[in-house]
Amino acid sequence: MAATSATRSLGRPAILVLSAAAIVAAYLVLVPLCVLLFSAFRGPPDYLPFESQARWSLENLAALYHNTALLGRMLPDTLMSVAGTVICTSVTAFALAWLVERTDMPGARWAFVLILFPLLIPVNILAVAWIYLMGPNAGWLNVALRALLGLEGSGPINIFSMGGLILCQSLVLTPYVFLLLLATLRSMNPAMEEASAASGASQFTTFRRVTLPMLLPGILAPVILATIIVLEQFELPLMIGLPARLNIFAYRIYYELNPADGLPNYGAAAAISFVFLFVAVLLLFVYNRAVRHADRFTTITGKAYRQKQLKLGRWKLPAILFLCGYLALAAVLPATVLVWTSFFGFTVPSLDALPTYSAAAYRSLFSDHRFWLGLRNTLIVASLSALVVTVLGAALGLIITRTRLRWRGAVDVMSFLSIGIPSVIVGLAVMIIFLTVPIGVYGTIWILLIAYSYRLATTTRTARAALMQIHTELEEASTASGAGWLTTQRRIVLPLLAPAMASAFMLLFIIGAREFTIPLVLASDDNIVISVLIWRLYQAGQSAETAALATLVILAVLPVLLLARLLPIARSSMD
Amino acid sequence: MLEVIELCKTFQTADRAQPRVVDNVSFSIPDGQCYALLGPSGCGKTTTLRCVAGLEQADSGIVRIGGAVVSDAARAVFMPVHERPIGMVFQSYAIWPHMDVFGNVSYPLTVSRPRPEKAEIRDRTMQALTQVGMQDMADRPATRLSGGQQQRVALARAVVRQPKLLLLDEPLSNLDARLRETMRQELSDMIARIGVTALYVTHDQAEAFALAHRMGVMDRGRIVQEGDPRTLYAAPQSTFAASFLGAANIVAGCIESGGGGGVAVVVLDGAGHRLAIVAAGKPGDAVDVVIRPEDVQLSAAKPERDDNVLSGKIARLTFLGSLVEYHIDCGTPHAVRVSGRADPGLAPGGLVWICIDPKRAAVLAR
Ligand SMILES: Nc1ncnc2c1ncn2[C@@H]1O[C@H](COP(=O)(O)OP(=O)(O)OP(=O)(O)O)[C@@H](O)[C@H]1O
Ligand SMILES: [Mg+2]
Repeated sequence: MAATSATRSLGRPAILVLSAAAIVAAYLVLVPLCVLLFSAFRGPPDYLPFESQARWSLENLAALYHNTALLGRMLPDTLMSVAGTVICTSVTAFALAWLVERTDMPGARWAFVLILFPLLIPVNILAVAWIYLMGPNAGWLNVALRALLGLEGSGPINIFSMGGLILCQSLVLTPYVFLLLLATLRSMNPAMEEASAASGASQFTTFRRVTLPMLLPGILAPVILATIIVLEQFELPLMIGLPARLNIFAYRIYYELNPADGLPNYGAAAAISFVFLFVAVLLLFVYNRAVRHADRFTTITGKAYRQKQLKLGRWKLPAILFLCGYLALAAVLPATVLVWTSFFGFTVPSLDALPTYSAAAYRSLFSDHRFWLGLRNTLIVASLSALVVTVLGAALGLIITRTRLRWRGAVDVMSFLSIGIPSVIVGLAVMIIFLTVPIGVYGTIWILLIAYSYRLATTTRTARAALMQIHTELEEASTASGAGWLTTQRRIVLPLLAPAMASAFMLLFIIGAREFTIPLVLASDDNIVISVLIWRLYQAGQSAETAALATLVILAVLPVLLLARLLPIARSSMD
Repeated sequence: MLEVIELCKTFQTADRAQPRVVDNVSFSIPDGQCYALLGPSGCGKTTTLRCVAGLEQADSGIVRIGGAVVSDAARAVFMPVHERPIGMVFQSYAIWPHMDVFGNVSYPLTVSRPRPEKAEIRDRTMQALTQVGMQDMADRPATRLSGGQQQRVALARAVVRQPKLLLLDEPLSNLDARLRETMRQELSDMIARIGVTALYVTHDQAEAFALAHRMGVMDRGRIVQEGDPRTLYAAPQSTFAASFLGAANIVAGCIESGGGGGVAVVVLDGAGHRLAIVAAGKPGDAVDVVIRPEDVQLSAAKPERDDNVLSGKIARLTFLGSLVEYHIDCGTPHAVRVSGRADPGLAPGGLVWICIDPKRAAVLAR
């Protein structure tokens, strides 16, 4: 391997810097995990897990196990919502990726941009929009459908149902899986399919016997990842699952912390987390295997142009309808309903409504100090945590690829593990820590920064992949020119790593700005962020203000979307 | 068997008008023969081949395989790839990693309609594998093959359904130099044994010489010269063909007298050496004289005859193992390269004479 010889030059500064990074990372990921595991075994429930009156006990797990009413509902509901979502998402995302990448679908490039839309917007904003669209009584779509079909009463669509939850979760998840599948489709050597055609196989046979089996390992990994992401989904179980009386695991943890009556039950929350963490870790190992399996199929690729795309022919109209339907539901209608509601309140659009136009919601928003505070907090926390995580990720990447330290494997596993930790669990763990250790962080934005920064997997993976591309000889040449380790990192490695890390930073910034679960769990008056403010406004029934804030978020996201058009992944197939 | 008539192809890109990648290419291959398209990188060889396969749709021109028109842009005839009676070997081999060797090779039979009996598929697949010497590896997963083995599997897969036409796109270019030489020989034998009509694309003149009955030299989308390998090598019609087909000295000069198909006296630029060679031009024409390094006699002593003899000094010599390449400075604009055996009497700085065989030199109008 390329990493061997660079290790020899690893002197004291290197060890110092890298160890420090590893320790911080371990703190961010492992401490919450450990605290959580301990908390599950501390009781009785009246005390904080680490208060002196608390003691070791199996009470929490026993209570969970005996609470058949809870298990009997939470497990099937969670299982159903996860399975349904993963299936819907996989099918939709594969169809979208296929249409955009491999067919002569018109407008593929704009479709690409719109498909990314839900990825950039906080999920609870999307949830609000879908509730406005598909709420059983006044939802736009229901009003329209009732008028169209001559129905009375409520419905026909009820978003507050298992079906509604699955639909919304699938819409949220589809862009992730779409991006991953797009990469898989791209990485396939076109000659593989051409060879099949040249062997006399028709397009359909080629698809069935070559394309699909070759893609399978590459499809498995995104699907497992999707499962993990749905499992940690919290916003939709809260906003759609709860009114539908669905008991989804992520929401249940939150409920134990904020029960309708009584005190927060940390032990019970930890016990529930414990079970699901186990499932998530299991999935991660399957994922790892799937990814390794996928490498087996990497083949020599000659220089190849992506060949002319499949002609849809008579399938063009159904394909366009599918794409437009999807985009309407995932991006266009949600944006429209929010913009409209911000000016006209929550009414069904009509010409009669036009005179009621009012920008009052924006005025009241701008005069609300929570808006400015939330905006400031969101920007600070999202950018700082993205920075911390990017720097740590780069350091961990260095440890993994460039050293032969004995614990580098553990670092890899640890950073990877962080994907499997639902954010509601991190919120809970950090909450327990800082309630127990009162150092004045609780209730400030700094606790958010600490909690947000556990997402090390993305940057570490990015750094690792980028570092593998940078040949160690480039560093050896620097060392041979007389530069020390730090200088070499600063002058050679970091500049080469910068583009990859910049995109990782962007991604984490977006994740941080969308974050809702952690800031809600850790919310105080001072550390409010935009996504939490949306929720507060929505809960208070201020639909116009909610929509106005959502509209502002969408406006902020638009330039990012337009930039996304220029991303290599958006470009390469269409040119 | 294969006829390509006035094939043209341009790649549309969004903005600029693109030059033709394939420009008026015509050639034909008789039954059972192998035709090589030879040219530098980017000259349009692969594109031509892909038009024949149907992987690319030509803008104009006709392609006929076995007498049947498979593509005629003017009459909007275009037979899809999978209906054409072809077998193709890809540059990257395109061995499907999710099948074993047998699965890969039997694939063309299993997708053909009507589908042959299981036993027949088995027999024909094993026969194809035997032809390439891979019969013992039928159960090997495709991911566990060396480059040479992948190449054989790709070839077996291309011939298993006994196509009328075999298309090969630089099949040896992914192999290392030594293996390439062995495989070149084997490929030549196999193509001859199977007796299939083949179109072979390469940028390596040695491959083309070894494999092809006829070959076409391509430059910027056009076939600039066509013929059997020996003629092409001996009588290139352009300096491009001359230098692409092997090492060549191209010496500028001018016809002094004679010519018109007979012997002419050519004055070489520089020191004004004179050569008597058969040339087509008329006195006063500027010409290039093509002299292959191996067609020149080198001697340390002054030869008896003095026509077609140049004298000079050894400027440099490069030891190549079996041969030595001498660079002789004899007053022409560039030193003349001569290959010969190692000879202790020939050292840098030494005075030498070079005799040129006029029958082996070609004169090209400039
Ligand atoms: N799909 C395509 N789109 C745009 N340009 C293309 C495409 N395929 C080939 N070209 C261009 O056409 C020209 C000829 O390409 P082609 O692949 O036929 O060359 P070649 O002779 O096979 O070269 P090589 O020896 O490098 O394989 C090149 O300049 C290439 O850039
Ligand atoms: Mg080529």
